[in-house]
Amino acid sequence: MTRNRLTLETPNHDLSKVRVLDGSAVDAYLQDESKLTGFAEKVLVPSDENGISSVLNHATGNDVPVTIAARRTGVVGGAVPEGGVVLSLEYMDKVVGIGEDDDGFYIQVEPNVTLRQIDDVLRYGRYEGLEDLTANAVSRLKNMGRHLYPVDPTESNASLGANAACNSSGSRSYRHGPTRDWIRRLRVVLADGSVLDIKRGEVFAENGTFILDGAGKERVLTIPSYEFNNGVKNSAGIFVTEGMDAIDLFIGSEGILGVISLLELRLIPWRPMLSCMAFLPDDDAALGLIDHLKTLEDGPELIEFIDANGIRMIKEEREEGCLFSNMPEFPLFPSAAVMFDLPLDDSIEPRMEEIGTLLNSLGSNLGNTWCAHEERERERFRSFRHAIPEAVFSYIASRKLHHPQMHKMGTDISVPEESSGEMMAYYRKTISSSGLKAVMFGHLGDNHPHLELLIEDMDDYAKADNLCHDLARAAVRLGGCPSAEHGVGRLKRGYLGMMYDESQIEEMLGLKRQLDRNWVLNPRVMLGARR
Amino acid sequence: MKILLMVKQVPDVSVSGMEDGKVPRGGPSVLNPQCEYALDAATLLKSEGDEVIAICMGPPSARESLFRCLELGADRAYHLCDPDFAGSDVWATAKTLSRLVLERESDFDYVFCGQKAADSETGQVPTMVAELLGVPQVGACYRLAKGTGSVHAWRERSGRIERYELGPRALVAVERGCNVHRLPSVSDFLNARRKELTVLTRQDLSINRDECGLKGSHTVVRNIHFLSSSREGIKLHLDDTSCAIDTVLRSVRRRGQ
Amino acid sequence: MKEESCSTCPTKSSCAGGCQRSEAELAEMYDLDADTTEGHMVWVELDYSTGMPELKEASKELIAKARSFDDQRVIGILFGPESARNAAREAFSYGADTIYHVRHPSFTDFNLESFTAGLTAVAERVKPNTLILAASDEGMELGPRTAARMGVGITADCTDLEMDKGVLRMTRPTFGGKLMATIISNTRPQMATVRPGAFPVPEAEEDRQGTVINWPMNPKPHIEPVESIASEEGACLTDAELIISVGGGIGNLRNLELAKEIADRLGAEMACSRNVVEKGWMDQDRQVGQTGNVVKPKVYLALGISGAIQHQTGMSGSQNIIAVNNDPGAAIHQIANVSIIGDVGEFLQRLLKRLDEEEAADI
Repeated sequence: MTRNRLTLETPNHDLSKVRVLDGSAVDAYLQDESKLTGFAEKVLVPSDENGISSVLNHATGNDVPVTIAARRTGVVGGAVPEGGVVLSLEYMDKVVGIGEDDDGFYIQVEPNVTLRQIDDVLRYGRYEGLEDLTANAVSRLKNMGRHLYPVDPTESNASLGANAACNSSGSRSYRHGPTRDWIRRLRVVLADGSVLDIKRGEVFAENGTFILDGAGKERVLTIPSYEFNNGVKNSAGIFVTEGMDAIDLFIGSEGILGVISLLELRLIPWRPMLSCMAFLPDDDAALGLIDHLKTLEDGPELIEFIDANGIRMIKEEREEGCLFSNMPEFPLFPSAAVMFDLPLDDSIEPRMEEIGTLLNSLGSNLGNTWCAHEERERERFRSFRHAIPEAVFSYIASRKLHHPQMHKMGTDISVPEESSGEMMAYYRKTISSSGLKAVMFGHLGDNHPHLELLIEDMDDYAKADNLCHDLARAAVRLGGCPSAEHGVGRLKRGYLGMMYDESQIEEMLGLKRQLDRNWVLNPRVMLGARR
Repeated sequence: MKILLMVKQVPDVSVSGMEDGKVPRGGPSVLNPQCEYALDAATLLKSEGDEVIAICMGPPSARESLFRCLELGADRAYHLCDPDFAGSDVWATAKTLSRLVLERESDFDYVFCGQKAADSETGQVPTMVAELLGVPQVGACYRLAKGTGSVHAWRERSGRIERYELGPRALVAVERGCNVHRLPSVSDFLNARRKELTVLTRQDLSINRDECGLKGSHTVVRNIHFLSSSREGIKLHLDDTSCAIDTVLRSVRRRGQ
Repeated sequence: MKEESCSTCPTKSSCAGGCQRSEAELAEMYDLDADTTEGHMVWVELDYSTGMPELKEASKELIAKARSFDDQRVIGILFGPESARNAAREAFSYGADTIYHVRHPSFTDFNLESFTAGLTAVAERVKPNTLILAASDEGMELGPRTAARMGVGITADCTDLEMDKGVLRMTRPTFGGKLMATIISNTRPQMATVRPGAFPVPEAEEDRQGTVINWPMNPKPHIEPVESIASEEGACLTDAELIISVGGGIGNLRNLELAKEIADRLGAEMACSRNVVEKGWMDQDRQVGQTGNVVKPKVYLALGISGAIQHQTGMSGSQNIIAVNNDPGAAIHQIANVSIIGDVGEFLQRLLKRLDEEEAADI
């Protein structure tokens, strides 16, 4: 038995159990959070893996493009169809069970389960109805105390299947890495309806190939040979490494190679944390604090930044609008803010004293640093941070009334640590010369801030589009990635050409052709139309 | 001036726990909202030389709520924590709290507390504590201010607004306050860790086992049932013509008869 | 501190209210057979607003309810000047057999200290089986203060009472009205405060007779307000029949003005959710919910209110809830009798236009 053999299961197909929506019922499935609108003939809603398999088998047989949709919270248009059918996974939203192995506990979920759902299970201990995947796993987990799935993409209503498909990361990825690192097992339905069951650590590429073994018929699957940029947060293109684990092929490939029908995710023991939000006089002081936080041992789980424009926007919104009304006055204004979490143990006092000394040298102090340790208060911090994108969304929505073609303009750029200063300088220079208004916030711990442009009209829109491309090119030049966590989808296909040359893209196309000969799976996502 | 601040920890109903009508079990707990107002009032009234002492009876997790009091301005705290206290009704609760006061802090000037707990909503404990301590009370207070040698308390009763000037030795139950919950700073947090938080058990207060907890309670819960909150409602679309407006006006004018 | 957590029996952790012991077993367990108390005592609250002392509606309810328990005596206790004696006849007509009249000219006004002393003294003399009070502002203080003085249990704010062979089963909502707990007391008298309006007021039996016992008493010193003014409008909210309540979904101040104008024209009281108070758009005394007022109007028109559990706590007792909210998933739609999915601003404009048209037609 070779180590690169993947065994295909070939289920019987029965389309009759799949729910079909057509006519005006389809309308609800044509948009996602990118606000792009597409078109489709039908929506097919399977209730189990066999349903998915039946749909895909039929689609491949009849050359029907399939767009995969779950909660439709993506921002790059990945779930927006361009003809064909939508495969909606909405019925597959069950948390199945708990298991345990040498590396600890894991949770098994169907693809449409959300982060919020497993958070509810783990936080409140709602284990009723969960299966024991290994002996007494549920009751053992109960006894071991609270556990946590450590990846926390901003949108907690996104489905975990989608998180896996675009290898989502979040603020805690600073410490815990992206979704990829936490997936233990996947079941994936391929375009022809056959199914792979892959556990991490069992099947690895050999000489750039896997062997697909379906009912005695073997074929070779050749994977691309380019070097995937793994030095930064990167959700652009298909992940490959030498001797890669087969499971990684389907994580981050945005549904163009297969449909995830079941996931097992690793859990870690929860530990108490102190969430802090430090206010400093300006952006430079805040960046100074971030540099220090990165040097800490057993450091923060997350390091998030809100620039001075963002703090001003929150303050204005609180005074005039509806959001943030329960937020106390900022201890320092004008200011920029840094959010970070530290483990709440005996080390907290000396560490805080050290941070206090640094804050003093940066023009602030621990009195200007909010902290929270109770669950409710920590949630408040989270919502402050998440409210910035919300405020930007509501701003853009109001502009969209006058300029219907307008959509949100922002960046999702990560760069390596050594280039972070240079990239920041470039942000400033180009923003200021463009004359656009912008707020910057996000995962500066990972050198991955989000820049959101507050565009007013179509002139601004054009300028912003240029600016974003300019920044993306700069990022690639500095060894970074212009699509760090949102994926490529339909909106950012242009970025792929910045990161990969023709032959590398041809390798991706080749892989896609081997697994999806009729090009039916998410045909417009990432690689674009059939080639 | 010595102010005793009696607080309770309650399940946090602002999280998704209550949506399906289930009592959150093992979910997060918070300082009772009306106790938060009492805390705000106590720490705002406090000036140099005054002391605010927070008191809470509850399971080990209630320490979090006392810690919040210490962060936001209380000077010391007592945590009445003993499995024997579990299951206390309003009588047993009031009795245990007043025993602590009489044994340890009998020279208090004021007792502040929240009017009602967000979970049980009885609103009885403050009055019973006042009686057991033999001091007058002002309940349903919505505003407090410092006078000379007194505390001014405003309340509303049967359509009238009353202002009291309370000399020392009185209890105030606070019902309303500012909705913006304060956030402690890291300095507050570090200071709170250095403040005294005394855990007291039944034996520390020489309370007989039959006098506290479930055994010392005078009322017992016979059964609990859930109410289904969903009503069979009519759903209308505003765009549906003027039908929506008609329905509203009809209901409003009939006053729901 | 789990007040009234679960627990009928000492093995509390396991039964969580599901305990199926019979009343007889409980009586034995709590030594209830030693009970020598008799009769049901009701605090009779008087209203002097017309000049003549009259029974408050809540007191009529409670007397009639006590009458319906069993065939034991119903004893009323009222506080007041000489003239309050006339109210005794009214109390008899709803079912009281005996009235203790605690007399002093100043007792037209509530005095927590004196009333506690009087109520305790009479209860200790009469040794009633039950002692019930209305859960009015005053009853909610007099009840527990008296209970603490006598060292007995009390159940607050009940919505139902049932008598079962001398054992009073008291039912009250808890956890924001999502749960109903039935509670019994192991001390005598069995004390409860009862939410006004919980029971119907029956027809008075005009010729029913009873005995009045005078109980002279000098008032105890008590703390008095240094200032007392009629509150401008605040108090009306809890008694209002029609409430228009606005939440964050009202959107802007212009819509709020429209809502106020409509309230004015329909004779409704304005209320709001916490969110609106936080924005400074309305005063906190207009807030409905866990940290605000508890209202139970005949019609509650909720505009742009999402219906968080804290808000529901304050208004779920409304007879008829009409919700306008553009989010079909808003929790308020779950509990509304009529849900209107749509923009609040547009709703207000249409409603106002309709009112204008009707007015024009009237002229």
